[in-house]
Amino acid sequence: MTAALDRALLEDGTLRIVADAATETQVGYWLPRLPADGVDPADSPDPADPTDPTDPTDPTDPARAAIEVRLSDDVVERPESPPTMAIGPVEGWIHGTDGVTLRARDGSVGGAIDFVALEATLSVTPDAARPVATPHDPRNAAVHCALTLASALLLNRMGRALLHAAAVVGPGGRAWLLVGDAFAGKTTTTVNLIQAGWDWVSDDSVVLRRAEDGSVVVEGWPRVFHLDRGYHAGESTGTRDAVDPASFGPGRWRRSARVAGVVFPRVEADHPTLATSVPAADAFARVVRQSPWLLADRTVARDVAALLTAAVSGPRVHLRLGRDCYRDTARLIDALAAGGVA
Amino acid sequence: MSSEVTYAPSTDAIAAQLEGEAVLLHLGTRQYFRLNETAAEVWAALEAGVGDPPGLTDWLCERFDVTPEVAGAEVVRLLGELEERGLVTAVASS
Repeated sequence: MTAALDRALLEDGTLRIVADAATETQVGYWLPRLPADGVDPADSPDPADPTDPTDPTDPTDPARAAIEVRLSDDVVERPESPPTMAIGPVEGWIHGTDGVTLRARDGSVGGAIDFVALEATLSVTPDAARPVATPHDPRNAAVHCALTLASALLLNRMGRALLHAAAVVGPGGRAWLLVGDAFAGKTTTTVNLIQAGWDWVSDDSVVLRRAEDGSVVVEGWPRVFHLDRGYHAGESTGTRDAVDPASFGPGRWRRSARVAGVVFPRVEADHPTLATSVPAADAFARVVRQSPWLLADRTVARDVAALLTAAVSGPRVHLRLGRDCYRDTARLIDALAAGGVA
Repeated sequence: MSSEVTYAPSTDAIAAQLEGEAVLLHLGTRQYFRLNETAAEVWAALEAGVGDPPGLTDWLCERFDVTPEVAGAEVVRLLGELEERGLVTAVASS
């Protein structure tokens, strides 16, 4: 395959994605906006800075795992057994320790993951590879979900975990994961904290890994933010627009940071903003519920669970987001500080 | 000849021990079960290979201020719940 797109997905270069010219546009919609995609690396902390709290790893490490996406008219045959999991229109069958079959229900996307070689190969039909899927959303959901599942399952085999979560970095230099459903307030909270000078890692997808000292590091897979259209008016409309997070500064983007704890935001407009403690067991269950692929691969489920246990071993806070903090970042900061989040 | 039942964690069960509590996840049904401090201790014992009810009762008595009668009843009740949910497997040995 002649690769039109070839990118590293992780800071240490150990996971790459390649795509042919015909699938490049749809793969590009899924691709995290990492430095090579136009985010100025100068805006992220200097890895050589000893005060930088991240865990820089050798960027020259060879790729251990790869995802390859190519155009194909061939439709992957649907296994007869029930799928192990399903994310959106894509189903997955995990075959013991060997690998995975992925298939969109309509057959437009299919593929396989080889757990021994740590390689995922996805095939996309010409119709699914079209640059514009619908007039309202250019992304093809099957391509998007298949890429998410393939990367998540490969990351699990690499001792890492892909989480549906945002992450921000407080003044102390440690990261806080923001975990919650769609419209729970992850992006609004992230934007408010960026305005207050907190740095940000991602508003939707992050990758967890262990540092050598046993602590947990979060690495961002940032994408375009989608913020409620009523944000500037201090209202919730339920309709979201794409926004550039850099425009909300002074907070800056960081590629990774060590994890301090977890915040579970939820919008309850008619109540005052309040942070309260969450039991560790509840926090663990909530984190897994947001990312159903996490424990799907039984071979590594215990290792992934141990990583998640470490991630929720710090402070855990339920953040009730009232209308009083919509445009008052000081109110939000005060509430978080009262809950031990700083 | 008498027969005894011993219990072991199911291969479908995965546990996360968190600050004296534990969460059990059944990988097949994807259901979660939150264990209190006592139940988390019983689970820790099962993972350590203590699978017979008398042994589990002793385990609790060594860690909590509780009589063998109360601990034994709690062990029986808990093992029944765990078995019903497919989180432990029971093996009869003679």
